[in-house]
Amino acid sequence: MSQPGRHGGGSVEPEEFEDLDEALAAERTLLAWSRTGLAFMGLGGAVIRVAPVPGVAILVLGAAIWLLGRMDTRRMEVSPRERPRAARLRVISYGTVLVAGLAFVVALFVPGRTLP
Amino acid sequence: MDRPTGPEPDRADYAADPLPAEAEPDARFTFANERTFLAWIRTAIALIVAGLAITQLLPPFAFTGGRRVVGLPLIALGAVLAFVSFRQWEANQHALRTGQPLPRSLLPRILAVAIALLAVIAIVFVLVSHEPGP
Repeated sequence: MSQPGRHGGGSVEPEEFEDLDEALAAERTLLAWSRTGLAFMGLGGAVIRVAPVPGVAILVLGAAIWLLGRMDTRRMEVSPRERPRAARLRVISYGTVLVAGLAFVVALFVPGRTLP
Repeated sequence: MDRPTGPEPDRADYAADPLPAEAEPDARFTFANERTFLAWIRTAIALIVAGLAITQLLPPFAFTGGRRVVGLPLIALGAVLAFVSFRQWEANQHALRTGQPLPRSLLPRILAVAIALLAVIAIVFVLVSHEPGP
Protein backbone atom coordinates (compact mmCIF):
# COMPACT_ATOMS: atom_id res chain seq x y z
CA MET A 1 0.00 0.00 0.00
CA SER A 2 1.60 3.16 -1.12
CA GLN A 3 -1.07 5.47 0.23
CA PRO A 4 -3.21 5.25 3.33
CA GLY A 5 -6.63 5.37 1.74
CA ARG A 6 -7.59 8.42 -0.25
CA HIS A 7 -5.39 10.63 1.85
CA GLY A 8 -1.82 10.53 0.67
CA GLY A 9 -0.10 11.13 3.97
CA GLY A 10 -0.52 14.89 3.78
CA SER A 11 -2.26 17.03 6.36
CA VAL A 12 -5.96 16.36 6.81
CA GLU A 13 -8.60 19.03 7.07
CA PRO A 14 -10.69 18.61 10.23
CA GLU A 15 -13.90 18.13 8.24
CA GLU A 16 -12.33 15.10 6.58
CA PHE A 17 -11.71 13.19 9.79
CA GLU A 18 -14.74 11.02 9.19
CA ASP A 19 -13.49 10.15 5.71
CA LEU A 20 -10.06 9.43 7.12
CA ASP A 21 -11.57 7.14 9.76
CA GLU A 22 -13.35 5.24 7.02
CA ALA A 23 -10.14 4.91 5.03
CA LEU A 24 -8.34 3.67 8.12
CA ALA A 25 -11.13 1.19 8.79
CA ALA A 26 -10.67 -0.13 5.26
CA GLU A 27 -6.92 -0.34 5.87
CA ARG A 28 -7.37 -2.26 9.11
CA THR A 29 -9.72 -4.63 7.36
CA LEU A 30 -7.21 -5.17 4.57
CA LEU A 31 -4.58 -6.04 7.17
CA ALA A 32 -7.00 -8.40 8.91
CA TRP A 33 -7.49 -10.24 5.62
CA SER A 34 -3.72 -10.48 5.18
CA ARG A 35 -3.27 -11.90 8.68
CA THR A 36 -6.01 -14.44 8.04
CA GLY A 37 -4.44 -15.48 4.73
CA LEU A 38 -1.06 -15.82 6.43
CA ALA A 39 -2.58 -17.93 9.22
CA PHE A 40 -3.91 -20.36 6.61
CA MET A 41 -0.59 -20.41 4.79
CA GLY A 42 1.21 -21.15 8.05
CA LEU A 43 -1.09 -24.11 8.68
CA GLY A 44 -0.68 -25.24 5.05
CA GLY A 45 3.08 -25.11 5.35
CA ALA A 46 2.96 -27.29 8.46
CA VAL A 47 0.48 -29.79 6.99
CA ILE A 48 2.44 -30.10 3.73
CA ARG A 49 5.13 -32.13 5.53
CA VAL A 50 2.61 -34.72 6.75
CA ALA A 51 0.11 -34.68 3.89
CA PRO A 52 1.34 -32.85 0.77
CA VAL A 53 -1.95 -32.58 -1.15
CA PRO A 54 -4.12 -31.13 1.63
CA GLY A 55 -1.15 -28.96 2.61
CA VAL A 56 -0.95 -27.41 -0.84
CA ALA A 57 -4.75 -26.99 -0.86
CA ILE A 58 -4.62 -25.05 2.42
CA LEU A 59 -1.72 -22.95 1.10
CA VAL A 60 -3.77 -22.09 -1.99
CA LEU A 61 -6.75 -21.25 0.22
CA GLY A 62 -4.52 -18.89 2.21
CA ALA A 63 -3.30 -17.18 -0.94
CA ALA A 64 -6.90 -16.89 -2.17
CA ILE A 65 -7.97 -15.26 1.10
CA TRP A 66 -5.10 -12.82 0.86
CA LEU A 67 -6.15 -11.89 -2.69
CA LEU A 68 -9.86 -11.70 -1.78
CA GLY A 69 -9.01 -9.15 0.87
CA ARG A 70 -7.24 -6.92 -1.62
CA MET A 71 -9.91 -7.22 -4.29
CA ASP A 72 -12.29 -4.41 -3.46
CA THR A 73 -11.54 -3.09 -0.03
CA ARG A 74 -10.67 0.23 -1.69
CA ARG A 75 -13.99 0.49 -3.47
CA MET A 76 -15.74 -0.54 -0.25
CA GLU A 77 -14.83 2.85 1.18
CA VAL A 78 -17.11 4.47 -1.34
CA SER A 79 -19.87 1.91 -1.32
CA PRO A 80 -19.70 -1.15 0.89
CA ARG A 81 -21.26 -3.96 -1.10
CA GLU A 82 -22.57 -6.39 1.42
CA ARG A 83 -23.79 -9.25 -0.74
CA PRO A 84 -20.53 -10.17 -2.49
CA ARG A 85 -18.71 -9.84 0.81
CA ALA A 86 -21.21 -12.21 2.42
CA ALA A 87 -20.54 -14.85 -0.25
CA ARG A 88 -16.82 -14.44 0.27
CA LEU A 89 -17.03 -14.75 4.04
CA ARG A 90 -19.26 -17.80 3.68
CA VAL A 91 -16.58 -19.48 1.54
CA ILE A 92 -13.96 -18.76 4.19
CA SER A 93 -16.22 -20.02 6.97
CA TYR A 94 -17.05 -23.30 5.22
CA GLY A 95 -13.47 -23.64 3.99
CA THR A 96 -12.28 -23.46 7.58
CA VAL A 97 -14.82 -26.08 8.64
CA LEU A 98 -13.47 -28.29 5.84
CA VAL A 99 -9.89 -27.73 7.00
CA ALA A 100 -10.98 -28.64 10.54
CA GLY A 101 -12.58 -31.84 9.21
CA LEU A 102 -9.36 -32.70 7.41
CA ALA A 103 -7.32 -31.99 10.54
CA PHE A 104 -9.72 -34.15 12.56
CA VAL A 105 -9.18 -37.10 10.22
CA VAL A 106 -5.40 -36.63 10.33
CA ALA A 107 -5.41 -36.36 14.13
CA LEU A 108 -7.57 -39.47 14.40
CA PHE A 109 -5.78 -41.78 11.97
CA VAL A 110 -2.21 -40.60 11.45
CA PRO A 111 -0.10 -41.98 14.28
CA GLY A 112 1.58 -39.21 16.22
CA ARG A 113 5.19 -39.02 17.30
CA THR A 114 6.24 -41.85 19.60
CA LEU A 115 8.88 -41.89 22.26
CA PRO A 116 12.36 -42.58 20.86
CA MET B 1 -24.02 6.33 11.94
CA ASP B 2 -25.72 6.83 15.29
CA ARG B 3 -27.36 3.69 16.50
CA PRO B 4 -30.61 4.21 18.37
CA THR B 5 -29.95 4.01 22.07
CA GLY B 6 -33.13 5.56 23.46
CA PRO B 7 -36.23 3.72 24.64
CA GLU B 8 -38.04 1.41 22.23
CA PRO B 9 -40.65 3.12 20.09
CA ASP B 10 -44.16 2.41 21.33
CA ARG B 11 -46.65 0.09 19.66
CA ALA B 12 -48.28 2.81 17.63
CA ASP B 13 -44.96 3.35 15.84
CA TYR B 14 -44.69 -0.34 15.06
CA ALA B 15 -48.26 -0.39 13.76
CA ALA B 16 -47.48 2.45 11.40
CA ASP B 17 -44.23 0.83 10.27
CA PRO B 18 -44.39 -2.93 10.89
CA LEU B 19 -41.02 -3.77 9.35
CA PRO B 20 -37.88 -2.11 10.67
CA ALA B 21 -36.54 0.20 7.99
CA GLU B 22 -33.38 -1.03 6.34
CA ALA B 23 -30.54 1.32 5.68
CA GLU B 24 -27.05 0.83 4.35
CA PRO B 25 -24.95 0.62 7.51
CA ASP B 26 -21.99 2.92 8.02
CA ALA B 27 -19.05 1.46 6.10
CA ARG B 28 -16.97 1.51 9.28
CA PHE B 29 -19.44 -0.78 11.05
CA THR B 30 -19.44 -3.15 8.10
CA PHE B 31 -15.64 -3.19 8.18
CA ALA B 32 -15.54 -3.74 11.94
CA ASN B 33 -18.00 -6.62 11.68
CA GLU B 34 -15.88 -8.18 8.95
CA ARG B 35 -12.69 -7.85 10.99
CA THR B 36 -14.40 -9.50 13.93
CA PHE B 37 -15.37 -12.42 11.72
CA LEU B 38 -11.82 -12.73 10.40
CA ALA B 39 -10.44 -12.63 13.94
CA TRP B 40 -12.72 -15.55 14.87
CA ILE B 41 -11.52 -17.44 11.79
CA ARG B 42 -7.90 -16.94 12.88
CA THR B 43 -8.84 -18.15 16.34
CA ALA B 44 -10.38 -21.24 14.73
CA ILE B 45 -7.20 -21.84 12.71
CA ALA B 46 -5.09 -21.46 15.86
CA LEU B 47 -7.23 -24.10 17.63
CA ILE B 48 -6.90 -26.47 14.66
CA VAL B 49 -3.13 -25.98 14.60
CA ALA B 50 -2.96 -26.60 18.36
CA GLY B 51 -5.04 -29.76 18.04
CA LEU B 52 -2.85 -31.08 15.22
CA ALA B 53 0.35 -30.25 17.08
CA ILE B 54 -0.86 -31.97 20.24
CA THR B 55 -1.89 -35.18 18.49
CA GLN B 56 1.07 -35.35 16.10
CA LEU B 57 4.09 -33.72 17.74
CA LEU B 58 3.67 -33.97 21.51
CA PRO B 59 5.42 -36.91 23.23
CA PRO B 60 2.68 -39.38 24.21
CA PHE B 61 1.19 -39.49 27.69
CA ALA B 62 1.62 -42.58 29.85
CA PHE B 63 -1.56 -44.09 28.37
CA THR B 64 -2.84 -44.45 24.81
CA GLY B 65 -5.24 -41.90 23.34
CA GLY B 66 -4.36 -39.17 25.81
CA ARG B 67 -3.18 -36.74 23.14
CA ARG B 68 -6.32 -37.31 21.10
CA VAL B 69 -8.56 -36.66 24.10
CA VAL B 70 -7.02 -33.18 24.33
CA GLY B 71 -6.37 -32.51 20.62
CA LEU B 72 -9.56 -33.67 18.90
CA PRO B 73 -11.91 -31.41 20.91
CA LEU B 74 -9.67 -28.44 20.03
CA ILE B 75 -10.06 -29.20 16.32
CA ALA B 76 -13.82 -29.68 16.72
CA LEU B 77 -13.98 -26.38 18.58
CA GLY B 78 -12.20 -24.74 15.64
CA ALA B 79 -14.89 -26.08 13.30
CA VAL B 80 -17.64 -24.77 15.57
CA LEU B 81 -16.06 -21.30 15.74
CA ALA B 82 -15.63 -21.15 11.95
CA PHE B 83 -19.28 -22.01 11.43
CA VAL B 84 -20.88 -19.97 14.20
CA SER B 85 -18.78 -16.87 13.53
CA PHE B 86 -20.27 -16.58 10.04
CA ARG B 87 -23.81 -16.84 11.40
CA GLN B 88 -22.83 -14.20 13.91
CA TRP B 89 -21.53 -11.96 11.13
CA GLU B 90 -24.84 -12.31 9.30
CA ALA B 91 -26.83 -11.53 12.43
CA ASN B 92 -24.68 -8.49 13.20
CA GLN B 93 -24.99 -7.21 9.66
CA HIS B 94 -28.76 -7.61 9.80
CA ALA B 95 -28.87 -5.75 13.10
CA LEU B 96 -26.78 -2.94 11.62
CA ARG B 97 -29.07 -2.68 8.60
CA THR B 98 -32.24 -2.51 10.64
CA GLY B 99 -30.90 -0.40 13.49
CA GLN B 100 -31.50 -3.14 16.06
CA PRO B 101 -29.19 -3.77 19.01
CA LEU B 102 -26.36 -6.16 18.16
CA PRO B 103 -27.20 -9.75 19.16
CA ARG B 104 -25.30 -11.25 22.06
CA SER B 105 -22.57 -13.62 21.04
CA LEU B 106 -22.21 -16.98 22.73
CA LEU B 107 -18.82 -17.60 21.14
CA PRO B 108 -16.61 -16.07 23.86
CA ARG B 109 -18.32 -18.17 26.54
CA ILE B 110 -18.12 -21.36 24.49
CA LEU B 111 -14.44 -20.74 23.84
CA ALA B 112 -13.58 -19.86 27.45
CA VAL B 113 -15.42 -22.83 28.97
CA ALA B 114 -14.03 -25.33 26.44
CA ILE B 115 -10.44 -24.14 26.80
CA ALA B 116 -10.64 -24.09 30.60
CA LEU B 117 -12.02 -27.63 30.58
CA LEU B 118 -9.33 -28.90 28.22
CA ALA B 119 -6.64 -27.17 30.26
CA VAL B 120 -7.81 -28.99 33.39
CA ILE B 121 -7.84 -32.30 31.51
CA ALA B 122 -4.36 -31.60 30.14
CA ILE B 123 -3.03 -30.79 33.63
CA VAL B 124 -4.42 -34.07 34.98
CA PHE B 125 -2.85 -35.99 32.09
CA VAL B 126 0.51 -34.34 32.63
CA LEU B 127 0.43 -35.07 36.38
CA VAL B 128 -0.61 -38.70 35.85
CA SER B 129 2.11 -39.19 33.24
CA HIS B 130 4.83 -37.52 35.28
CA GLU B 131 7.81 -39.77 35.85
CA PRO B 132 9.41 -39.33 39.24
CA GLY B 133 13.01 -38.18 39.04
CA PRO B 134 15.96 -40.50 39.76
